[in-house]
Amino acid sequence: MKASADISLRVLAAFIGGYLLTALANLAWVLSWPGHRADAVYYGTLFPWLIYFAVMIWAFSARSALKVWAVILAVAGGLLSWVALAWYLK
Amino acid sequence: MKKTFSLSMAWLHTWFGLYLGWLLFAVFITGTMAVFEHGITHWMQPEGRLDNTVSQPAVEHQFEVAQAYLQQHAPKEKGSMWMITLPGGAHPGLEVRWRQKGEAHEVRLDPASGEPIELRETEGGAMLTDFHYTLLAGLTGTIIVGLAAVVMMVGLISGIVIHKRIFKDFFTFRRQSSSQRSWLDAHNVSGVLMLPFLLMITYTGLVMQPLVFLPLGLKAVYDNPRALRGDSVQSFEQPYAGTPADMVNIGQLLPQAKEAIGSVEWAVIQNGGDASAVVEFFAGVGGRVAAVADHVAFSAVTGELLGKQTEWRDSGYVFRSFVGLHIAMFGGWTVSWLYFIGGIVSCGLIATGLILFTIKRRKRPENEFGAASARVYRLIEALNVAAVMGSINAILIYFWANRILPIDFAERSDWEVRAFLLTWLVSLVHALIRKPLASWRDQVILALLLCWLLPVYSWLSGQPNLLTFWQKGDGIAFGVEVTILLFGGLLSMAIPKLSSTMQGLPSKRKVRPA
Amino acid sequence: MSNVSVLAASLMTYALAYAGMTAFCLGMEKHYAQARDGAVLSPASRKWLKAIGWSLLALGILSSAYGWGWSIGLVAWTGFVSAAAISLVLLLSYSPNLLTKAGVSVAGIGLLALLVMVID
Repeated sequence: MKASADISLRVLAAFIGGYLLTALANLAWVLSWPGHRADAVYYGTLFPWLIYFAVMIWAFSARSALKVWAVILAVAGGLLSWVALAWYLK
Repeated sequence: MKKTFSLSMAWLHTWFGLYLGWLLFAVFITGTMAVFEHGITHWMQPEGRLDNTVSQPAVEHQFEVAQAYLQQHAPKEKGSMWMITLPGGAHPGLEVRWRQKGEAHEVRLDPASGEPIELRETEGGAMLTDFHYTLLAGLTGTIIVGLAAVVMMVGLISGIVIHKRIFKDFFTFRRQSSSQRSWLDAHNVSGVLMLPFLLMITYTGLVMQPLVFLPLGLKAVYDNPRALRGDSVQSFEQPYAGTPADMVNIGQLLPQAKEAIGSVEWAVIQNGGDASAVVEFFAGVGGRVAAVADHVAFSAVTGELLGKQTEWRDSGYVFRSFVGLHIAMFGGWTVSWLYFIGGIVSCGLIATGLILFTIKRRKRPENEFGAASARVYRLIEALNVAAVMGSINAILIYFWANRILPIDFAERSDWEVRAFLLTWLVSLVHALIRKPLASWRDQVILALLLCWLLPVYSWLSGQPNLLTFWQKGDGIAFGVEVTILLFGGLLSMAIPKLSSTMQGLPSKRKVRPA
Repeated sequence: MSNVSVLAASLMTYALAYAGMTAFCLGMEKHYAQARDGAVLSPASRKWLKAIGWSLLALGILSSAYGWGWSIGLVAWTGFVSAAAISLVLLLSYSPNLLTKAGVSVAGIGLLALLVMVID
């Protein structure tokens, strides 16, 4: 792969992929919270950011940019099904 | 991506640090100013200066005159909110506020007579706070600042990874060493010693705006996002009656309010002038880290106690602790000053990082942009000057504009902001025209003069100045101006370093052939 | 809290943080040599200095909690430690030979502040 394409893929993975997983994790957390919805939202805003930082760091340290995207999409798929299930059960 | 994890982190730190560093410097310097937002506003409206040499009327009386003013001027309509803020702490004057047809009104009152005090039109310190988290570009700006905060966090983490000698070099600052070594030491030492502050301020900044940054979860369970607040903050609002009614003198409720919540810093009257009018007293947020204000509500018509809130939902309290840690309204002037120092050192961290990028390449150009490298490095040098000195000078010019523009000048507050923004442009153009080090020096000297001559100008133009602030015992305005003078002193320390670097610099950069 | 006791609590916490950081700094060979004309740090002194450093930092937490309560106190203490360390680094780089004296005098100021705090 050309170096510029590699970097672009990584930048997109870091910013967009990272946000995608962060937002989905937040959504999954809120929907799965057993207690009051306010607790779900307040606690749910505190921690998903760690995912963003981790994805960003990993996106620029992993061997292959394509692998990064593959993992991001796989995890996003997993989170999405979780969200769908939680939504359905609510 | 690179051969090892730490090489990848070095790459990430360098490039993210460079591209977002420019923005982050502006965000951090305005955020540092925001610590003293109200003090700065007060300094920018010297007509409302306190006279602490005469004693202030009783709080009950201040509530009475404020209420009388609101009854005359604020709209009596469904859903109206009148606010009264007492002088105290960073808030130097008695203020009343309301909204009418979506427009915010704010009037400073003389606490004795209740007459409005004419203040010059300015956005004051609030403009700097706004810039800090919106870049004056609304929601888009907030999102950009949010992304910059994520990058800041990654910059901190990657910085820790590549430093490797955190404990060995904990106190190491070889000021006299080679140029690159001394800047690197300054960068490392400020980052390491301020690390708790840096991690805290960046993380809390991200967490505090869930509606903007993480709306999905919130909107999945709340149709109306405002209901989230309602689940945490108790409301004692009464349904609007539509029948006018005389209100009690709310000042008389004060002893009861103090008994319920300890102290009172501000009050809000809902549906003022209606039979459903409610007055709510708030204890302020200064006494604990969590930014929540205990409150107690009375009927403003009968004076009957409606209820109080001194206990908080755990989750909301934890969340507001994160917010509180960011906005630093607790702990009085001690904590304010600690945050201010933390902010200045953080700005130094970012500035030294930006400078390091160019210093490394001045010595040993890396040809990272192919044939255009020399020109791109030149542009980066200029952007560094514009980001660092441009931001500092923009704030100083904003202060100067406040003193120079005539008080009755049309749209004077808009012109203050324009002067602020225009300074960046001028700074960049200057940095592009002049040689890098010369533009650094010019702009440092300009900033220094702006700092040191400001009190002189105020004095010569017959405006309130250091001397009059001192005489009136107005510690807040006095403190702002002394801080500006001291900041000039800090800048003056950079000049010898710049001059010595300039003498040792080759006149023309050589770029390694590709 | 009155202005006087706020000032006293601030001075006290800063002084303890500064003195603690000085002990840590002197507990490192290169800074010990830097601050004391090339003298060599003995393993015993090193141990002692570290122990003193930790105790002073711990006392600083107490002083800060006394001034502002535990929640605000812990935040303020963290800030004081950073600010103290920054000022220490500056002193070390500008006049290292003053480091020991400054550490001892600041500790003295801290004790004075303690006195004011108790009386006030």
